[in-house]
Amino acid sequence: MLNEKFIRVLYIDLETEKIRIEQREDLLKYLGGVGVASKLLLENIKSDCKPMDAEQPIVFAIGAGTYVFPVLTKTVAMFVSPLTGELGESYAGARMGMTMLMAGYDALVITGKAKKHSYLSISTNNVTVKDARAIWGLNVSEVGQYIREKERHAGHADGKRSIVYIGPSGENGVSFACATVDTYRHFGRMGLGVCMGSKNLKAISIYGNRSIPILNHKKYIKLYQELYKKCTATEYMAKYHDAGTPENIMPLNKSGGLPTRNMRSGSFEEAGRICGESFAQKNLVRKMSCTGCPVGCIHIGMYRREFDKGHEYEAISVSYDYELIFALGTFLGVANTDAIISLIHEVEELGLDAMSTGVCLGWATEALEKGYITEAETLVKLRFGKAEEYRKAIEYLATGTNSFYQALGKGSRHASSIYGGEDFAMHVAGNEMAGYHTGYGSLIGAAVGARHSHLDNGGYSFDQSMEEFDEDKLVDMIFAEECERCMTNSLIMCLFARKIYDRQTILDALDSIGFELTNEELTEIGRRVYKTKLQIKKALGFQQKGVKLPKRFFETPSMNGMLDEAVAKSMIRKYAAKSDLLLAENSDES
Amino acid sequence: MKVKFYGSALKYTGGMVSVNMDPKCCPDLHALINELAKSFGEDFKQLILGGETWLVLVNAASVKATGGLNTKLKQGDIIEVLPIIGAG
Repeated sequence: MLNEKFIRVLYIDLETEKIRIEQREDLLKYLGGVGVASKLLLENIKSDCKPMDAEQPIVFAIGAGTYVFPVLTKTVAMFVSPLTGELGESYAGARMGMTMLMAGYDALVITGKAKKHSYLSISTNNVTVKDARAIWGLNVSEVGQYIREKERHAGHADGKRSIVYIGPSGENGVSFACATVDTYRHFGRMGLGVCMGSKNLKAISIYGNRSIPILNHKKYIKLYQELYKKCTATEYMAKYHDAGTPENIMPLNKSGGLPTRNMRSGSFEEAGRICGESFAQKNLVRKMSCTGCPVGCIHIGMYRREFDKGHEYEAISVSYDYELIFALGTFLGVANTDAIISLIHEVEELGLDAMSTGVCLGWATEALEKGYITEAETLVKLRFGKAEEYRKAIEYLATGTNSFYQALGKGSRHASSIYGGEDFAMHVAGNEMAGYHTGYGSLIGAAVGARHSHLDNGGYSFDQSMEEFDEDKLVDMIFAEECERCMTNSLIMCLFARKIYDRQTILDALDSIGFELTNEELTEIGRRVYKTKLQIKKALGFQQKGVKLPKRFFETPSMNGMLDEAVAKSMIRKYAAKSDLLLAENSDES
Repeated sequence: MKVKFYGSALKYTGGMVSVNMDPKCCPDLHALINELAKSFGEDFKQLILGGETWLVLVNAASVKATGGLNTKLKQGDIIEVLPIIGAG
């Protein structure tokens, strides 16, 4: 907690509607963010229960520098993932971090299951479980509108309130249901939405209006201005504001790392039609920022939809970025920006993770083509490039229309284990792949990463920068970066800004708000947090050595050529040995 | 030979998406960048030479594997300047 020597944790039991607040000095050694959230998850998980058991916790935490410095904007959610069955971790921006800070909570731990469909209203001095029966079953935009109207705070701007909410997918048991934050941001991956749904929790509204003084104002303001300038007047963040991450489409396509049509190929012949420039020219209508960020990387795209006969039209606007264009565009062979935005809109409204949705539908398309499943199961003739069929399938997926879509709603690993086609079900340890087939860095990085994400350790980045492939060196780099990101995600910074916040900048920033840390202590925090995550994964039965990668990763050439399964296995073994050593360290008890 | 620009590289070319160059005055990539800097300015040159945020392909192959700035160029080559991949 800013200006205090403790971490302030709000515990909420939805079943008994009892709350308690603890001010914990012992959590300071985890800094904040993912460090604190990991420790709280480890303390509260029930390793012998299923992910959606009422007793499993959902943890939210803000970072040590949230909202105080530019680009430190995110909140982390940790839970037991219904998709992978082990550690669940997801990040979202918008206003949530700011409101938690202003409400006076560093972390929330939510357990139990509400007796009826509910939403939580949290403010500085009040926590209330409220009736949500009227909005159960509603789409995401309708829920947002309802909560915004109900949760008004007299005399204060709505900008001091943040809302996290789920759509029908989270109610219907889809393992990769997401949670939306303030319309345009999401806890997208690994199924936070279904964890909330299983607790009868439709939404969480957080309102904060404290005023917090900065004690060393002179030092703070000088550093803030330097960081602000780096964010807005240098090249570091320019591309994220300009066309945004959709810029990735062309370099990935040109270099053969763009997963296309269920990753049968690493390039898409229509990439030019759906690249960053095309979206900017045809659909971009504005750019937005998370609270506390001067960059403006949230790109809002719009298209005009005919929703009924008789010249009935409406304007649909959604936020788009590279991962969504990959998952609902290239991976499904869809080559039209309007069509991709319409698919993004569909997953948004129903509360699905766009990445898992696209990758699952890619598997289903190929499985239908090859006869593993039939149209009697898919209900529509799924074909690469046909957006309207995918739009219908997304609806069937979110509502669990039949046993096939119920199985697909548990992820591509689960569905392919029932129907076959495991070799081309493009998940890594149960989490559907991200849009980078760049080489061993991205593949092994995701396989061993704590949440099986490209962002755990940025392996795709090493695939670009490494001059010559060196197996041992790459394993070391991935392990070191995983630890480093455990530290930076304890702040929590937007990963776009990792080049702005070098070690000295982090130390200076923390020092100006009262954290006196050394460079060595930052390193130690990273290792401590990663060790805690590994303890969670072990408690939930996960073994790095046991990760089995789909054959397709070794059949389609990557940006760095064809990958060898034997090399991949060897790298996973070497990395697992390093993880085991960290787990065995007893110098610092987690 | 032809040089193509993508994404935020267009900021430095004034929106120009491609330019034809005479291979006689640009025998290698380093010479090409110097030549382009005459039109697009020092900022463009420094960005490419910095090398951390740009991907340069010659005939669809990264120059990382062909000698970097020393990569030889010839008539008919297609050089592409793209931003590197980033996520967060």
